[in-house]
This record gives sequence, C-alpha cells and structure tokens, in this order.
Amino acid sequence: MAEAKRQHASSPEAPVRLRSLFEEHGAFVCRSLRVLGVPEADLDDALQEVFLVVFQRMHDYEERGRARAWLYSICTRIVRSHRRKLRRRREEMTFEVPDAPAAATQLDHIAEHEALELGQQLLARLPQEQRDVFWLYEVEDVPMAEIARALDCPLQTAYSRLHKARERVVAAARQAEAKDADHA
Amino acid sequence: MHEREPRRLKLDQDTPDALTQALQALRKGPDDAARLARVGRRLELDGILDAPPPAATESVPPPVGSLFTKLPGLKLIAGAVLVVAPLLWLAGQPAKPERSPAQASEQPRALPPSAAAGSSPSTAEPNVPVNAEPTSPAIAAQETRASDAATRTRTRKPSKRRGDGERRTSPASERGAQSAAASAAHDVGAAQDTSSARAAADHAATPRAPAPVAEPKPQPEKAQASARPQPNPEPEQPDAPRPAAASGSPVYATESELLFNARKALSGDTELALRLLTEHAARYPRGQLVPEREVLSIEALRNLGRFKEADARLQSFKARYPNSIHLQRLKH
Repeated sequence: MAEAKRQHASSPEAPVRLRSLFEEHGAFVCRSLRVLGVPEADLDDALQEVFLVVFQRMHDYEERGRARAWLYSICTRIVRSHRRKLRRRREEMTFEVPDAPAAATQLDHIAEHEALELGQQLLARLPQEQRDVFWLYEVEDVPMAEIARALDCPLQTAYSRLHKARERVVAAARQAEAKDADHA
Repeated sequence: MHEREPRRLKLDQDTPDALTQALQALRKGPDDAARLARVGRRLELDGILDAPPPAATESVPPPVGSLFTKLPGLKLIAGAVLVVAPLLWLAGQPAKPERSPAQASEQPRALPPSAAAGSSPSTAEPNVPVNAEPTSPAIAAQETRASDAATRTRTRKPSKRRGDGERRTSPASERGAQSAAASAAHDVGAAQDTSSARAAADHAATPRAPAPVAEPKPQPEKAQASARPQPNPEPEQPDAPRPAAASGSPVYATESELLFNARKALSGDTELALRLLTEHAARYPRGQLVPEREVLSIEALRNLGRFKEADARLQSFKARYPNSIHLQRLKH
C-alpha cells in the first residue's frame, strides 16, 4: 500500500496534491497553529511556512498516511523552532493586519463565542504533550494510532496522556459550569 | 487498536454540556476563510500550490548551481547570451510602438512581460485592468506550474524531477517552461549574488535552445514567438482577447498577477520588474502581498546594482516584518 502510494507520488497526476491538502486541511492547520500558541498576527506566516514544509515533505506524507496528524506534527516543529523568535519579537510586530476581522468577533452567537473561549482556556491549562493528544483526539477526531505516530510516542503513552488530559479538562469544565450556575 | 479507543468526550453523555459545546466550538474554530485565501495566494506566488511534489531526495544536487560548478564553460556561454540576448531584444523593439492605436491599446496585454517592457513606459499599461480579463484557471495553473522549478530551487531540497515538471508543462505553450526556468534562475540568483543570478538566468535560458527537441511542441511557431519576444511577436488580434489570454499574456487583473509578472520579468528585464513593482505599490499600498512585493523589489534593486537602496529597503523590511520567512531568502 505504501509502495503504491509512493508510486503515485511520483506519477504525473500528483501535482495537485498541495493544493488539495491546503484546501482540505488549511483550516485545520490554522486551528492547530492557534492551539500551539501562534499569535494571530503571525498566523499567516506560520501557515505559509507549514505548507512550504509540507511541499518539501510530500514523500513523507505518502509514507505516513493520513494527513492531519502528520500536518500537526509539522506544525509543532515549526512552532517550536520559531517560538522563541515569535515571542521575542511579538512586541515589535507592525503587521498591517489585512482586513480579516478578529477571529472571535466573527462568531454570530455570543454563546458560541463563550464556548470557544472556554475551550481555549481549558486547553491552555494542559501541559503541551497532553494538549497535543487531547486536541487531536477529542477535537479533531484523529485516531490514537495516528496521533502516537505523529507525536513519536508509544501508543500507550498517548493513551496515558489523553487520560490525564481528560481528567483535567472535565474537572475544569465542571468547575466552570458550577461557577456559571452560582452567577446565575 | 481502533476498538480500544475510548469514546470521545463530545459523544459521552456524562460530559458536562459546557465542555461538549466548548469542544464543538474549538472544532469549528474562528472563520479563517480570509486568511486561507491570503495565504493561498502567497503559496501560488511561491509556485508550489500546483507544482509536482519534490521527490524524496537525500542527495540530489541543486539542478542549476551544480551544473555551473561542474561545467564552468557554461558560465562563458551564459555570459555571452547575457550580452547578446538583450541586444537582439532591443533591436526588435522599435517596431512595436508603431502599431495602430487599436492594436496599441490591446498590445501590452498581448505581449509577454519582457516584450511589454519595450513599449513606452507611459503607455506600457500595467495600469490595466478595469476591463482586463482575468486569467483563466488553466492559465493560472500553467503559470503556477511554470514557476515550480523556482520554488524547488529556492527551497532547501531541490527536486531531481524538475525536468519532468517542465516537460509536463509544455503542451499548451513553451512559454511556461521558459518562465519556469527564468524564475528558477531568478530564485537561485536571489540566494546567491547578483552576477550569479544573471548567469543563472542565462543558464536557465540556454536549455531553451534544445527545448524544441526535448519538449513536445504542438504549436511551434506560437511557442517560439512567445519564448522569443524580440523579432516579431505573434501578432495578436485586438478583437480576440481569448487567444491573447491563452498565449499567457500578462493580464494584470489582480494583485497577485501583477506580482507574478514582476517576478517573471525580474530574471530578464529588471527595469520592467521594478516598474511593475512600483505600480503594485501605487495600486495596492496596503495589499495582501506587500511583503512579497518588498522581497521582489529588493531583489530587483540588487539585480540593478543599486545595493544601497536595496539594503535600505531590506532594513525597513526587517523592521516591518521581523518574522518574515522571506528574510532567509533575502540573506546573501
């Protein structure tokens, strides 16, 4: 199967693949970069860089199968390598932010906005390795085997991280709910 | 393994409602359509969106640079072509402005970028496009593919399948391959010094000579006309805008097309490239591809030997876009 895919990669029909990956998974990459802590002002560049790397590593994709976990692993590497730079220079950013409205303000419903905020807060409380697994499994529905492969950890470790993350997140969500009930 | 997976929280009835909603909101995320469109244009400009993926190469040498190192004679040939080609090209120029007004109004769009340079700058029209016809998807794809060699050269892992990509590009016109090679040369040049950029441009142009042999040419005369703009570019029918677009003529309908053409011109006619970039600055002062414009401008200034201006512009670029991935490309 992998061999067949490799052959496909070198076939003349292959060229459209980056476009199709971009169209199909661009939004996922955006979400992932956000979860990984890339500030809005840097998202465009980070997104572009991810797909530049994707282009160079298409063969890797062929060998590794489904896209999202693989894309996420590329995101994590890029974010890691640029994190220091991004943080150090964030205050210097003078991006002429294109007309895109701030993300959250586009949401139609306040409830949805609040739900998104809560989700981001919950994720922010998790250690990075737990957040990776939780995000991919619970939010993006990526199978655990793929997650483990993309994150280069044993499957059991991935399960363990998921378990811990779920405990934390559920507890925090219950806490938030209780707080809301008190306010109401 | 799959059956071992625990039920996802959002499907579990015990999950707090707030969490279920939060997970759904996270999955939906903010609307990134505008961002994706922006970055998609950038990737198109990088020439990789429709390009054939590079092969899994561990030890493939850079296609252009390595040839120069292995065959130093190529430099001489490239140098000769560098001197001769512009002269030939200039020799062919005076004929163009003397077309009928009707043709003149249509002509700039019908010409390839380097030919458009020949017409006088005042009428040279980059300011087109009120009724400019958008490039057809096929042309856009062709242009994008045409620059794939550029990207593969620029990116750290060049592809050994470059030739394949070009050959595949050719059925519609040879011009795509021509500009691909030119773009590749330009990008290689950008990564090196100015002189080697020029040499690389010409090296990239030299394989065009054997191209008729190597590449299938369904429309030889047309391909030649577009590949070599100087003597008598294929007369374009003023009343036939479709063929004009089909021949890959520059139609500066959009911001990215303007930059595409500037980039193509950069390897051949830097003055034209700079004019197009200036026009871009005038038309899109706050455009979505401003960083790309600045990068091309810096490269154009370097190609013209205006290093002080280039450095000044680079400094301002650094200040403005400190995290830009283009900075790597702009390093000498």
